Amino acid sequence: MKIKAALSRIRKDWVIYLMLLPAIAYFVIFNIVPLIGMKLAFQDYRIIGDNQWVGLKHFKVLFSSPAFFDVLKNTIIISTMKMIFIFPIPIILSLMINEVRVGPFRKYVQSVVYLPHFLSWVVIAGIWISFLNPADGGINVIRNFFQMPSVDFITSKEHIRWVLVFSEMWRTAGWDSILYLAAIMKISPSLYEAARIDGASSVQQMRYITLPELTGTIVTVFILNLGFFMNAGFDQVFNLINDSVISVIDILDTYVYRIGILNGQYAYATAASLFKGVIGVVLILGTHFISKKISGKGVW
Amino acid sequence: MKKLLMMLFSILLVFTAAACSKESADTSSKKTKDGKTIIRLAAKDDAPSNPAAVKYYDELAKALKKDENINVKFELVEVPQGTYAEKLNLLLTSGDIPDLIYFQGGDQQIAQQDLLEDLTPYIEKSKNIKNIIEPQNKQRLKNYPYLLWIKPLDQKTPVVRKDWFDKMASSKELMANPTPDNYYKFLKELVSNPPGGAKKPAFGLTVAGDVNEIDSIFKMAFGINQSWLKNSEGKYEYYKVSDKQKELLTYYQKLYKDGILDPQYLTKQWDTKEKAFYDGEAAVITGTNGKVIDLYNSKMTEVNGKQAELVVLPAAKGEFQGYGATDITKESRGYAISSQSKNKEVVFKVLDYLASPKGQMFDRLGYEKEQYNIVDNQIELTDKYYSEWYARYWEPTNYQPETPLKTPLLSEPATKSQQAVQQSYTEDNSFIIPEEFVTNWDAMENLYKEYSTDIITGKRPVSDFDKFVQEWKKAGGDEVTKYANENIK
Amino acid sequence: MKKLSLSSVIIYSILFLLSISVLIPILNILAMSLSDPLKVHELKGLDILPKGFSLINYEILLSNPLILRSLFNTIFITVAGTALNLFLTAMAAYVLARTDFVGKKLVMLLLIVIMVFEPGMIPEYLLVKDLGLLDTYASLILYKAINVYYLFILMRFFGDVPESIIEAARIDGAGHFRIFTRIMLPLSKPALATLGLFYGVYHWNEYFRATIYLTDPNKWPLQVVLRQFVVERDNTAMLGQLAGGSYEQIKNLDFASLQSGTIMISIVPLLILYPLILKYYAKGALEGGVKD
Repeated sequence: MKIKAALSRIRKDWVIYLMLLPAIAYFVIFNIVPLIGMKLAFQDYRIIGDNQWVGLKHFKVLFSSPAFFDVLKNTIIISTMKMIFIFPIPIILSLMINEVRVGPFRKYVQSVVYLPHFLSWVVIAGIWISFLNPADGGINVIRNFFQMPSVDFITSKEHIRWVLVFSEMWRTAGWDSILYLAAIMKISPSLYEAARIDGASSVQQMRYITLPELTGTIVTVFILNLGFFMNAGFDQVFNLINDSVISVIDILDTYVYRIGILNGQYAYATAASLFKGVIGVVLILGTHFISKKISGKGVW
Repeated sequence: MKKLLMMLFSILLVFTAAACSKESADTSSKKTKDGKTIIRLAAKDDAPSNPAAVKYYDELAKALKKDENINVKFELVEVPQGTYAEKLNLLLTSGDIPDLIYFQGGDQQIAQQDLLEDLTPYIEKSKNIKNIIEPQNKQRLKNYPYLLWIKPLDQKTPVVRKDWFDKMASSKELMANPTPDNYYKFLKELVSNPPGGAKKPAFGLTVAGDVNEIDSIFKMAFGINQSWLKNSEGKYEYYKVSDKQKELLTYYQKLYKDGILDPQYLTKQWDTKEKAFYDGEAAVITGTNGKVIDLYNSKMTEVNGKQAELVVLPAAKGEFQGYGATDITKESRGYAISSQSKNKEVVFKVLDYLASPKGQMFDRLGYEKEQYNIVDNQIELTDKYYSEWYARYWEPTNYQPETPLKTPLLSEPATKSQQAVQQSYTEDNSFIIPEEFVTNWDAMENLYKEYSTDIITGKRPVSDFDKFVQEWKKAGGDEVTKYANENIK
Repeated sequence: MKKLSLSSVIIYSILFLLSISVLIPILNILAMSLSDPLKVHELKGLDILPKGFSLINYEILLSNPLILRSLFNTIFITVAGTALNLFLTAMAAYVLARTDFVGKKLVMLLLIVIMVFEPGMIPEYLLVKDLGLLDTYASLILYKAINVYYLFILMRFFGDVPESIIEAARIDGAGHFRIFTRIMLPLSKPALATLGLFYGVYHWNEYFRATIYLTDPNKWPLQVVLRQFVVERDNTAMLGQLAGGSYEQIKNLDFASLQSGTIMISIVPLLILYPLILKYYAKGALEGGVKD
């Protein structure tokens, strides 16, 4: 019975399916097919001839290393730090920019803050290493001015993770704020109009109108980002790592890079991707349903 | 709005169709084309978009025809410089395997699948290659006969500018008796009595990222002449956990503490290290003997004048003396022939030709009237040679062309560095880490990096070295050591 | 005279400091690209004026015979790619955000899986090869034609459009497609502009995949051509292939400055176009502007 009802619904909604068709076709060809290729994680790749099934061999190799748990620990710690400290910044930034009434200044700020996003980590690492230089880097000039001793941040196990957090914040805060600004634009001006008539101040308007309206976007972005939790930033770590701090910022991706990719052993990389992906999906679905229960808002 | 969308959509379709059409692909045709054998070749700097490479291979084909009556045409495979390793790997794993391939890593798993030709029989039957093959190549081919790369040894040698060297009172003693102590005295004098003015140099030594670069100066003096050393019980132990390494680290710690080793060495890359050298921030750096020293020399004299020509410093003298043992497990890079190629014999003939006197002259010296001129029956190398020519194939160290060279191939410091390294040639007993130990080995090496860096920079006392040894053994060191003792002859 | 409130002062100062912290390194890079190669090593991290002055870096970069062609290639890929991106993403976002249909939950789950898993280069390369798309523009335009992350964002934006407007249209007899084109799209200009920016920048910066898939130098996009000699620091190839720069000049090139030149050239078009996109952001704010 259900099937018949379903089929008749499908026939009725044919426009929907037609509109969805190009996207589905695209996804099947360009995403699903390569995903099936991830079975390489369970095989030994053979250029000539068929791949051999080796079951969980690659996973065992990856997970059995004494380094694996250290690397996993670092990945989780760094990702969590970034989530907590970096995530709110673009939101705050967009709120602040929104408060700027002086047109030219606003345009100036908006046109400038997103620029670091275009620099590659090779370049940004160079900039930050120079800035944090204990001899004459900008940060230590400032510290000395306040009678504080110079610190070598880049080779310091205590500080390096913070360097990762702040350099990433510097790079992405501006660019990510564009999204929230777009969301703020959608808020109906009549809401603000009404509040103004009622005598609400700027800050109150932000608290009672802007922020609540933004919640949907914030939740969506937050949950989606959780899908990439296990990534922690390969390019960044790769360019900032040095022998002093390996034990503290070596992450899953850099570990897999050394073991796998450098030797052309792509199967390890695929196994690691599979592992990361599973965790990402679990995180997204988990937080999505919890969030929906609590606030009615999720990813969709 | 709808009409606009429909129009956009159709324009898009047209674009997509246009974008999809491509020239008819010329899939691997091993067949001969007007009598010529087609050799497909993938090499890092030789892409069809590079006119210099295209010209080289055109001329090579001409020379092959003229000198050896070999009829070939080279087809270069486009592999971009920036992503050579990745693209090469993708090419190969997708089944598109050229006849002749240059590898810079990633060859092992291709060889494991029997896709690279064993070159031993070819070399034995060769006319020229077996005459120019160097001892380290012979050993490496014995262990791993898939890559051919006849090039000079790659040990690094330390260099310093002559005008500064001459100003130091301790230089003579250093040259006569280069003990680690005398080295220390020399480097200390450079820092406390900077010959170039205030803070020039600011430190005696700098390296790019880790102290491996200066190991070539000091390692052997501290008794580390191989990767696996026999300990007091007559068993092999890895040099990084030996007492000798502990002493070496103590020495480095002193260099760091006393301001001789650049405190920023950890974050230096090869370009900032060189910059520090030319700017006079660091007095001594190490560089691969031969071509690299040549480069350093020419840049240094350009920036600081002829008096800043480089002096090659000797390796430190102690229990042993030398610039480090040579790894003979396998070539780390080189040319391979695909086992699937239909033209293996012809490809090898090409490689053999490049080892013949005429071939060597072509590959190493370039085209007559461009890279060199023959004046009074002598070869005079032009500016074009020095600035842009490089040998793509074999470079046996003692090369004498049939017509004598008036102008040298390398500058004097570079030649001196080459000779110094050759004189101290010794073979290492390292082996390729078997697959079952690979992940543990990575962890063990990182453990060493962490401890050694902390000790050198003073964050840990030297006594922590013993802690490191214990952890290393537990992290898989015992297994690998056992394997080493069973397998090293 | 407008009275400045404390919060305004704080906000303006923070924003100003932030913009400076971003501007200085960028100006430093600009200065590096304009410095005399023989003097550039004097340039310190926080300097914003060049040492010496020389256009040699730009001369070298722009004298590459492929540069003009590569600019057209990039523009083509960016325009065609972004148009395709927006069209596919918007239509899919509308369906997923505002309709319900059999199998919707399955599609959602699939999308999340697609977004999170990275199959890696090998399966992707094999796919492109099997589709016969090697060495075609299509390989770059079709890859990531729909970015699932952006799709979800757009779904959120479409979802926030008030139901009443849609309801009204439906009562008037509009079908899904009409609602999509007549109502959804016009109301979502900031969202579409934002996505257009994101996708456009993505195409503009494409480097890695272009090197993997495009073998014909005439198809190379801007990023590949700009970095052609910079990545490997290859003077010798430059001498052979570039029209500009004498032998002396090329010998003395500083590759870090050359690299800064490539960065500047890539950023310039965005610096020009971005203020145009800002138009879409100006409206709402100034309408809701308030005098304290």
